Amino acid sequence: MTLGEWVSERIVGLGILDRVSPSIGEFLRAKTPPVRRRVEVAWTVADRRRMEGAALGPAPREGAVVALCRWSTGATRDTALIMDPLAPGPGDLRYDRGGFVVTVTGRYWNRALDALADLGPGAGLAVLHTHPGSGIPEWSDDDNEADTELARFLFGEGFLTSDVPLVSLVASHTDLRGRALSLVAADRAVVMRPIERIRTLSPERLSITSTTDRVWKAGELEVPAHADRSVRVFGKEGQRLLADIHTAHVGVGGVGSLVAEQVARWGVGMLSLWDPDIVKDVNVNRSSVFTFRDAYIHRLKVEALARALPSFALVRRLAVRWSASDVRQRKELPALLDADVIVMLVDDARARHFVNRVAYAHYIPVLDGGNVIRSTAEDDADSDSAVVEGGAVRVSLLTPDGPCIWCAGHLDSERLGLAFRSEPDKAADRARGYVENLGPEHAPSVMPVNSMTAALLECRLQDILFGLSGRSIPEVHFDLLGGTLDELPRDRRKDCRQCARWQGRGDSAELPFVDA
Amino acid sequence: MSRQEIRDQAALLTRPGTVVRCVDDGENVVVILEPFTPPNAAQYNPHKLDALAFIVPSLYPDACPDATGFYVKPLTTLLASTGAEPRSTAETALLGEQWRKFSWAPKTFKWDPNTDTLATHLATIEVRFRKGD
Repeated sequence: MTLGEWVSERIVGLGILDRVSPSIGEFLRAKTPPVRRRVEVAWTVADRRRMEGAALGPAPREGAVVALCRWSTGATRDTALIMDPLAPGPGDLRYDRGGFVVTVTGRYWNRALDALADLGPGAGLAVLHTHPGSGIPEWSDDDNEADTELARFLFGEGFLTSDVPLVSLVASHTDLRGRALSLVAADRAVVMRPIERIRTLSPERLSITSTTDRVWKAGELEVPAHADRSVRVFGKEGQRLLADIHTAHVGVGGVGSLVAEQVARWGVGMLSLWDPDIVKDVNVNRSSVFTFRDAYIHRLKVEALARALPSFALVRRLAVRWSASDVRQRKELPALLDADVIVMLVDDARARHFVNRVAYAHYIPVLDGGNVIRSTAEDDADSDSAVVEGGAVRVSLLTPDGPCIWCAGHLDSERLGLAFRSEPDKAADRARGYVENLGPEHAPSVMPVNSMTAALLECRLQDILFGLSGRSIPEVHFDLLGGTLDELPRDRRKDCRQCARWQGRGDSAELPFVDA
Repeated sequence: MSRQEIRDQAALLTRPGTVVRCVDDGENVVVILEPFTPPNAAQYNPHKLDALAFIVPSLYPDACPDATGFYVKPLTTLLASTGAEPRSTAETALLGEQWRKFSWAPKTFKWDPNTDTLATHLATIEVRFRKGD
C-alpha cells in the first residue's frame, strides 16, 4: 500500500477532515491519488442458472446468451447487475468452424436492443458465451476481435450510451471470467476492464468468488496464525472469504456496536459504519465497546467504535470507514454501494426504508434486526418494581427475490409517515395520550436481549456466506417469555412497489434521499 | 415523489374561494387551505375556518400524510352547539405559529400508497369534521 492509498483509506475516507476543515479535506483529496476501481458482477442465482444453463446447453459446442445489465456505482467499485436473460431463439446463434464456434447474430442483438428500449435509461447489455470443458477459460483471438467490434458498433453507432454497461462473460463448466467494455470516443479504442469478483445472490445464500483476474494487494491472502480456532471451522479459504468481505453497519447503537465488534473479531476485513449519535452514559449498559469515558467526552458512537476495532480485529489490515452523517444523504451512497452485506440496526423508519430499497435496487443483501421488550416500567425510569410482559428478537434477510420489510409487514405507510414527525410533536402527543403506536420515549433495553439479537444476526450472516442451512430463511424470531426460537414464513408480494418495482435498477433507481 | 409533485397534487385540492399553498418544513411539506369551510359547517363556530393545514412527508405517497391529525385556525374554533372546544384538540405550534390541532387516528382507513392521494386524505379529514364533536 502506498502512502497515498493509506492516507486515502485511513484519513480522507473517515470524514474527520470535513468536520475539522472542509477546505483542508478538499485539498488533501485533490492531492491523493485516485483509488483503483474494481469491476464486479452481481446477479441472482436464478438469472445465473438461466444464463449458464442456456449457454452451456449446446456443449460440446459453444453457446451464448444475451442479458440486460445496469451499473451500480460504488466509491471504489463498479458492479454490473446482470438480469433478465433473453433465451436464444431460432436464428439467434450461428455456428462456424465445424459447427463448434458460436456467433451472436444481428437478429439476436436486435432483439436485445428492442428489450433495452422498453427499460428506459441506464440499461445496457451482457453477453455470456461458453468454452465448454473444465478450467479457467481463456479469451481467444476471436473473442478479443468480437468484443472489440461489438463495443465499437454498439457504443460507436449510438445503440448504447457511454454511461451504460456492456459486459462480456466467458464460462467453462467450472469457471467464469469477464470484462466490461467501453469505447474511447476520441480514437475509437476499446477499453476492456476485467471483472475481478462475482456476487451471486439468492434467498438461501450470498456467494462471493474472485475471478482469475482479481488483483490482490501484497499480503492480502495471508491468514494470520491467531485465526487458528476459526480456521478449524471454515478453513483458510473461509477465513480469506471473511477478510475479503465488506460489511456496512447502518446504526451502531446497542446491538449495532456488538455486531460490528464481533464481525471484526470473526475476521471480516472491512467495515463501514454510520450513526449520527454520540455515546451517552445510558448506552454503556448494553455495549461491550462504549465506555463511560466515551460518554464523558461526548464521543461519536462511530468514532468510538472505529478507534476500538483495530485492537481486537482478527484481520491485521482491517479497514474501517465511518460517518456521522445520515446514511440517506446522497454523498453517503457510494460508500454504501461498496458493501457486500448491509447490517441494519436502526429504529428510524426513514433509514430502514432507504436501506431496504438499496438492497433490492443494487443487489446488496441486508440483515435487518431489532428487539422489543414490553415492561410495566417502560414509561417510568423511577419504578421500583417491574413485570416483563413480553419481548421478542427478530432478524430478517432482505435480498433480491426474497421478501422486503414492506412485504413482511415490518414497515408500512403509516409507520413511515410517523417517522417524519418532530420530537417536540411526538412529545406533545405522548403527553396528550391521543396518538397510538408512539411507543415509550426511551425503549427498555438490556444486554442479554441485545446480545441475542447480535448473535442471531451473525448466525444468519454466517449461514448466507457459508451456506450452512442451504435454505431460504427470511426471518427468525426469538420469543423472550416463551424462550422459543422460530423461523417465520414471509412471502414476497409480487406487486410490491418497494422491492419488485426497483429490483436490479441499480444507478437508475430512485432512492429516498434526505437531500433529494 | 418530489416536493414539486406534492405541490402539483396539492394544487388539485383548490376549490372556489380557497387558496392552496405549500410550505417546506424540514423533510415535510405543509399543505394549507385558506380559508376552509368544513362539511357540517353549521356545527362549528366560526362556520368558515381561516385555514386548514396538514403535513405531507417528502416520501409521500410511500409515507402517508401525518395520520396523527390536522391543524386549523382560528385557535378558538368551537362547537356551535355547546361552545366547547372540539374533542381531542389542543393548541400546537406549526410553522412558528399557534394552531388548533385535531388529534385523530382514523380507525377505518388504511393508507394505500398505490391508490390514495391528497384528495382521499382530505376526505378523511372531512369525515372527522362530520362527526361534529
